[in-house]
Amino acid sequence: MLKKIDDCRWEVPMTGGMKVPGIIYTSERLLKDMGSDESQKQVANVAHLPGIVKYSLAMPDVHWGYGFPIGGVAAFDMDTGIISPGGVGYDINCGCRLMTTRLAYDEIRDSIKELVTALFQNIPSGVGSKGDLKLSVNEEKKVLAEGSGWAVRQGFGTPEDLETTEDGGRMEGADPEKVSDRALERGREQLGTLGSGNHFLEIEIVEEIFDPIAAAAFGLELTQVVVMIHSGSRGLGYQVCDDYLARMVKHSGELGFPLPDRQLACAFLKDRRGQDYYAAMAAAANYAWANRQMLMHWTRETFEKTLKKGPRDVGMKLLYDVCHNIAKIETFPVDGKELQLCVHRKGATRALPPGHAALPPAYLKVGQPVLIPGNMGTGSYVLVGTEKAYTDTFGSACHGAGRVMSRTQAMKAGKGRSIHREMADLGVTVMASGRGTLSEEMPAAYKNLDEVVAVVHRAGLAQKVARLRAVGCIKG
Amino acid sequence: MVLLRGPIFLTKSPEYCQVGVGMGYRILDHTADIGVEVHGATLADLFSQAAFALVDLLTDRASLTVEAERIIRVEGADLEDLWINYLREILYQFNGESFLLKDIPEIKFSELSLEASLRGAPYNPCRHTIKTEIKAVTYHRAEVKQTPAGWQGVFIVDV
Repeated sequence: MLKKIDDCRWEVPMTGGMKVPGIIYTSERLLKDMGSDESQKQVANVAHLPGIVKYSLAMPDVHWGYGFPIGGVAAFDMDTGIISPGGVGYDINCGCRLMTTRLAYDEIRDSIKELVTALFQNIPSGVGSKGDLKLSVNEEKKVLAEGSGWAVRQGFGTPEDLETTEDGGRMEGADPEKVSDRALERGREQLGTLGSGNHFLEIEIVEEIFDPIAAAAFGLELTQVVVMIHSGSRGLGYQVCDDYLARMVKHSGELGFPLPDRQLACAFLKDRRGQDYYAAMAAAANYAWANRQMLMHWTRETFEKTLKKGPRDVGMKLLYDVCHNIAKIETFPVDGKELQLCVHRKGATRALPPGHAALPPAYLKVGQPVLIPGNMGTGSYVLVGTEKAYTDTFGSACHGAGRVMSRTQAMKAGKGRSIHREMADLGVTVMASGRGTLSEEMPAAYKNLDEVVAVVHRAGLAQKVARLRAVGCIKG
Repeated sequence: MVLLRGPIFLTKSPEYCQVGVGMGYRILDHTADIGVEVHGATLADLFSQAAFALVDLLTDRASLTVEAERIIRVEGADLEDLWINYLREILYQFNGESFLLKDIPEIKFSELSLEASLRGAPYNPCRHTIKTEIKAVTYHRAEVKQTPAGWQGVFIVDV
C-alpha cells in the first residue's frame, strides 16, 4: 500500500525482502491514472536488489515496463551492488536532442509542409529502417568507441556540437569487443536512422517561457523555431541488452539471491559479467549519440536547402542532448558523504544542478537543460536541473509523458478516426511510415504532460524553463 | 518428440486467434508492451503457436510464401528459459537475418533443448509490410505450464 509523504511523493513501504523503501513522485491525479498498474510492484521489486542505495525511485511518468518500471531510477553501491540490463532497457541511450535556430515561426509558417516532407525524405525512418551507409565492422567499432566524435570527424556536424552533448557524446569505458557479432550485424545498416514507435523528429515553436534567465542561457526565445529529435541505439542496442540479459539469466543461480522477476537479471558490478555488460552498454550508448548527431546533421541540411538559407541564417545549434535509458557511474551525496554509484535511469533524464563539473561552460551558472519530449500534438518542455535532484533523486527527473493506454487500447480508440486529420486540426503536420504508429502514439494514449512536468517542478527536481508547441512531426 | 502439422488459418490483426480446440493465442493488455497468451494441445503446438503469434504481430503471415527453409537449435536452463530463448531466436530470424517465418513443420524436443525447422521467406520491403517493430521478447512474466486442456504459455514483447 502506498503511503503519502507530501503532495508530490508517495512511499512504497518496506516489506518482505525489500532492502530500501520505494518513492514514487506523482500527484493525486496521476495516481488515479496508475490504477491497477503494476509499476508500484515493480518499484518494490527493484528494491530487492543487492547494494541498492537509499530508495527505489519512480518519476511521475512511471508506467508498467518489464523488470524495472519505465520512469524508474535506482543507484547501486560500487562494491556490493549490481548492474542490470533490464534497468537500462532495450533501447540503450534512447534520448533526445534539441536544436535552436535563428528562425521565427513567421518565417517558416508557410513552409512547414514542405519542411516535413523534405525531412521525411532525407531522414530514414520506420521499422528496421536502413540508412544510406553500410559500415564495415571495423568502422562500426570506431563508432562504438568514439560516439558523436566519430560522426563529427566524418563531417556530420561540428566540434561545438560535442560540447552540448551529455558526456560529450562519448561514454568512458566502452569496449566494442564486448558487443556480439549479432549486435554488430544489426547495427551496420541502421546508423543514421530514426527508427519507429515513439521515436520522432519534431519541428516545434517556443510557446511560453517560465524562466527568462535559464532560457537566455539556453538561447531560447518566444516564437523561435526549434527541433527535437528522439531516437536511440536502434537494433544494435536491443541486441546488446538481449544478449546480456540472456547471459545473466543463465547465471542467475550464482548470484546467491532469488530474483523476483527474471527480467531483473543482473550481475555484480565487481564481477566480470557486470563489467562486460557495462562496456558493451557504453559502446551502444556511443552508437546512439553518433546516430542522433547524424540525424541532426541531415536536419540542418534539410532546413537550409528547403528554406534556401545559409547555415548562418538558419543557425541550427545544439542546445543539448540527453540520454534517458542508461546506467552511469556518477557521484552523489549519501548520508553526508559523496559516493560513487552506478545510477540506472530507465526512462528518466539526468538533471544536474548549477555549478556541476559535468556541465558545459555556457550552462554552468543555470544548470543542465532537461529535455522532456511530449507526444504528438502536445509539445515538449525544457526544464533545468536543481540541487534538490542532486540530493534526492541521484540527479534525475522525468523523461516524457508516460503511457496510460496500452497499444492495443490505443489502436481500438483510434479505429475509424483519422489521427492524421486530428493532428492537422491541432496545427501539426505529421508524416509517419508505419500504418499503426499514429494510432498507437495518439496523444490520448499518454499521461498529461503538463501534469507530469508540474509534479517534477513542484517537487523541485527540475524547474520549468520553456514550453514548446509542435507544428511538424515525422514518425517511424 | 516429432509433430507434423497441417496448414493453419489465422485472421489478420487478431484479438484472439482460434485455430483448433484448445489452440491459438490472444493478445493481453500491457501498458507499454504487448503480452501474448498462447495455448497448444502439445508442447510443440504451444511453441509453434507462440512463434506464429510473434510473426503475426510483425507482418501478415497468411500472405507469406515458402521460399526458404532453415533449422534453429535452442537451449534453456529450464522450460521457461527455453521458451523465451526460442522466441528470442525466432525474432532474431527477422531482426538479424531478415527471414519471415510462415510455418514450422517440425519441432524436436530433447530435455531442455529443441530443434525446429522453419519455413518462410526472405524479408522484402517491397512485398512485406511490417506492422510493428518488436525490439525484444522479454523474460517478464514469462510462463509455460501444463493445463487440463494441454499447454499454456505467456510472453511479453517490448515494442
